[in-house]
Formats: sequence, C-alpha cells, structure tokens
Amino acid sequence: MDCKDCKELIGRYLADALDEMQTGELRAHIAHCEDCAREEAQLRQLIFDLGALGEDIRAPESLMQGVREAILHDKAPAKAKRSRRSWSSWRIAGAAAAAVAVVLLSGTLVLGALGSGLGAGASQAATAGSSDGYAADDAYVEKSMLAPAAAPEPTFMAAAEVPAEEGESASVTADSAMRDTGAGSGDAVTSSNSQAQSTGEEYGLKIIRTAEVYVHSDNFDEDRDAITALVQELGGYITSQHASGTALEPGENGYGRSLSLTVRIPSDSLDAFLSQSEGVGVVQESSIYEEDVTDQYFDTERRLEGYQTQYDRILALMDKAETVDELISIESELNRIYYQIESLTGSLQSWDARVNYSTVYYNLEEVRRASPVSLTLWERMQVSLQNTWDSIVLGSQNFVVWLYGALPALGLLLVLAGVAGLTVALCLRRHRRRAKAPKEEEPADGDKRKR
Amino acid sequence: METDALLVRRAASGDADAFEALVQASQHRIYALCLRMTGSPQDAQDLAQEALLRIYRSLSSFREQANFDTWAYRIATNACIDELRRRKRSELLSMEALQEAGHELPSQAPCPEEAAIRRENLEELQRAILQLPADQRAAVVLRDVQGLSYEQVANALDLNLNTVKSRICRGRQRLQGILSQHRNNCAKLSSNG
Ligand SMILES: [Zn+2]
Repeated sequence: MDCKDCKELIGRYLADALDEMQTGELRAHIAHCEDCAREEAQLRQLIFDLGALGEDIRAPESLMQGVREAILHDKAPAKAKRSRRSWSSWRIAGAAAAAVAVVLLSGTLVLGALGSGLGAGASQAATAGSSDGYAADDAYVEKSMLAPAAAPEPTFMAAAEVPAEEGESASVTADSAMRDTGAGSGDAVTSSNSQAQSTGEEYGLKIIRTAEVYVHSDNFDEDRDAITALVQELGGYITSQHASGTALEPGENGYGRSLSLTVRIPSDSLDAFLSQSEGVGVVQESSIYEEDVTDQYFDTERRLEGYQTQYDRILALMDKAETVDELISIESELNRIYYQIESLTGSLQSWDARVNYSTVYYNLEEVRRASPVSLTLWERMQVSLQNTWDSIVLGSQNFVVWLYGALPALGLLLVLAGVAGLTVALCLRRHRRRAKAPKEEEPADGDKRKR
Repeated sequence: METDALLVRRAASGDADAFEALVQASQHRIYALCLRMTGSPQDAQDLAQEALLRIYRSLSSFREQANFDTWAYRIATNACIDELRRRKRSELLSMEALQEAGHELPSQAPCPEEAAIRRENLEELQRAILQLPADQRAAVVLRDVQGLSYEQVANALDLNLNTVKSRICRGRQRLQGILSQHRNNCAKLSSNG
C-alpha cells in the first residue's frame, strides 16, 4: 500500500466504510508512516471542528413569529389544496336543500335506484344537486370514476365506520411523496407517465437504479461538454448542477473547479451511460445501487384503489344525508380520503418517475494530472462482489415471487415427485435387500459363531 | 408521545399555538442546519421559516406512530436542500458566469494571523462548507455538524447508506483540500509580504 492509496482509505475509514481487512492494512501502514498518520489526525481534526460548528445555535425568536404570521395567513394546513374543494356552509346548506328536493321529487324512483345499483347515479345526483359548489371538483370526480375498481357494490357505511388506513406503509409513501414535491422531479413525473407502461419490465418489477460517479479531469472544459453531450445523446436531462471552485492556475496543484450534476437517464440507457462515460476524464469511483420497490408499489396501488372505491361510496352517501351535520361529516370524510388518494397517487408517480429514469450523481473534479486510483483493483473486486450479491438478492426475490405464483403447480409437482421418489426408493430397497441380504447375514452369523 | 399526536391534530386544524409547541424543540436544530447550509443568519431564517411551514402544511400526512421530531427534521432537510438547489440553479446557471464571479467567492477570505483564533478557524471552515456541492454539503452538515448517524443521514436524504458514506467521505476530503489550499495561499502571502 502506498501513501496515495492510504489517503483515500483514511477518508473511507473515518466514514465508517472500510471492512476489517482493509482497516487492518490501513492501521498497519499508518503505524509506521508519519505522513499518513498526520493525514489521519488532520481529517479527525476537521471532523471535530465541524462538530463545533453545530454547537449552541439557537433560532432567533423572530423565526417562530414569522412562522406564526404565515400560519395565521393561510389558516388550516393544506388550505391551498382544500379550498379548491371545500364548501362554504351556505353552499352545503344549499346542497342539502337541493339533495332533499331531489329525494322528495323523485321519491320512489330514487329509492328504487338506491336499492339496485346506485353508484354512478347517486354521485351524479349529488353533483347535480350542488352544481355550483361542486364545479371545481368535477375533474377529480371523473378521475375517481375512471378507477378500475370503482364502486362495485355500494354498501351504506357511516362515515365513522370507514376503516382506518394501515399505518406502516403509509408513512413510507407519505414521506416519499413529500420528498418528491421537491425541485426537479415535477417534469419527470409528467413525462414518465407516458413511459410507465413501456419500461415497466415484463416481470412488472419496479427497480430504482441510482448511480454515482466520481471523475478526475485534467481537461475540465472538454470533459464537461462531453458529459453534457452524452446525457443529451442518451435522452436524459440534467435536473441540477452545481459548480464551485476556480480554475487551476498553471503549475498550481490540488483541486480546481468542480461540477456536480444530477442527471436523469432513461433506465434502459443507464448502462450505456456508465460505460460511455468512462471515456470522459479518469473515473475514480463508480457505483450503482438498486432498490426494489415492487412490493411497496403494488401495495400502494392496491390501497389507492381501495380509497377510490371508498370515495365513491361516501360520495353516494351524500345523497342520503338529511341534515347539514351529516353533510359536513361526510364532507370531512371525503376530504380525508381525498388527501390519502392524493398522497398515494403522488407516491406512485414518483416511483414511476424514478423507475423509468435512473438518477446519476455525476461529479467532475479538476486536477492537475488525472490518474487512476491504484487501489481500486481491490475495491473494484468489492464493488463487483457487491453487485453480484445484489443481483443474487434480486434474483432470489424474483424467485420467491415466481415461487409464490407457481405454488399450486409446484404442489402438484411435489406430490408427483414424492410418489415417483417413493416408488424408486421402494424398488431400490427391494433390489438392495435381494443383493445384500446374503452378505449382511453372513458376517452376522460369523459374529455369533465367534462369540 | 400521545401529547404529540394530540398537538399534531390541533395544529393540523390551524392552531398556531399547538404548532409552536410541537416544533419548540426542533426549531433550533432546523435553524442550525439552515445556518450551516447557507452560512448567513438572514438566509438561514428565511430557509428555516420555509422549512417549518412545509412541516406545517404536511401535518395531514404525519402518521401517529412515527416520531414527530424525526419526521419534521426530515421534511425540513428536504425543504432546505430543495431551496438551496433552486437558488443555486438560478444563481449559477453557467460555469462561465461562475468563473467570472470566481474572485468574489467566499474562499478568498482574509487570512488569519499566525495565532489564529479558534473562532476564525470555524468561520473559515464555514466558508469552505459553502464551497461544497449542495449534495455533499448536506451530507457533511447533517453528519458532522448536526451529529446525525449515517443511517439517519441516509434516511433524511432518502439515499442509500453507501451513497451517503461515499458522499460524506468526498465532502470531507474536499473540505480538507479547500482549507489546505487556502492556508497555503495565506502562507505564501505572509512570506511574500
Ligand atoms: Zn503513508
């Protein structure tokens, strides 16, 4: 191990990213290399100083005051969303009156409809009854009625009886939905929906692939242009870029400029991107991570369908409500479900976007002379080992999925195999007995005789 | 924790007092994060306010079995990073613009005297942090300044653990590089002058 490798390893060691063997080698080197020992001490000092930067910071009082004002300004949380669809009480009263009128007027007709297949009819009545208050929601209502599992068999469920959502996955999805309200993902979401089916893999697996590439460059401008061109060529786009540092002066060593790109590449082209980008600068480190979100994805999809069905059912109840109180409680229940639907839809879209477009964090750093890191043989082996392991894990997950689907058939096979095995075993035993019987008895007899 | 759930419900219905009580503890941590990410108290306050409002507006998606502080901190982190990215994108659209502005970069800080006071060192460190790419900066600040575990950083940034470690590692090395470059320049200056 030379000192250049060592410097790299020290960084990884202090980032808790070395295994025991590497740690051992590193410590052995540092034990009798003053330079590297100093290097380690400096990095530890840096980390210590960074910690000091976090001490004793208190938010100014004006922070919460500002927040308070902003809150009072926009009343209830998510009001921006809610206001689109919430009704002022006079409108609710109007809707109630209209609904009652509809019920009274069409009397037995409506009651008959209630008895048979009310679903769409009732929601139309509700829509008509409150036409002006409801107008803003029409788009949404249409959407929910298009849902595949829309209102199969209306059961009259009081708002309070609506089952509470399951918790665990909900927090995951809400979080990721939140994450994706962030910058850059918006355009991806819309563009991906058209692609969702085509890249949705034959097995229906939802795999998110993320890559990270670190490159040293001694020809910064050219390499920067090359990578930008490559992204475009492969149908990708850059969602964010951050540049820092100043160009290296002639003869100056150390770091010059750096460019960090967040790139979205159609997942089909990720491998092409990674292999072709090896021609740009000198790759110091390159890794791919895969995350299988298949289970969460389909779980979320199922729950979304459930909520959409619920929404339609409760919408249908609107027609039966007789008091304003009832209408209000129905409305608040509708609001609650609407949020769930929104959040779940957001999660699905964000997953689609991330499955169809891989994210690459690409980092280009200007150096005087770019040279490959020599220690990477070992590291590359590890990376490839990790990849192999990942694909084994992935493979075995696929296998489990397949296994589950094939269970009935497998059961039959197993029975058949069992029967066959048993038959063979029986035959063999019979054969063996015939063949061995005399031999086995002879020594036994011999023993007895000796005794 | 039950009080949290109650407060969340009250805050979600627009009760500002409840919300204030809810984030009483975490507002300082959120502010500290914003301060170290931006390096300016004014920016930090704007950013922290934005983050707190995002928490407020997301209350309806809070699950009661989750830990509120963790949840809130995660939203705040994302708000902070998104905002930084947004700003950076408008500020630093082209490398050329950056290079022209290069001379005004905060790295060209005054050189500390020989008996450098610790405070100056820390200020220098803060300026160096601002030169990190946003992704590395977030990872390093969360881990080393805010003291989160690697797992917590991964969770907050919605990243794989390996990615986080690698990013922190690169970030620190880059910081080290920036600092030593700065110190070398200062050494040259003082030996010349
Ligand atoms: Zn050494």
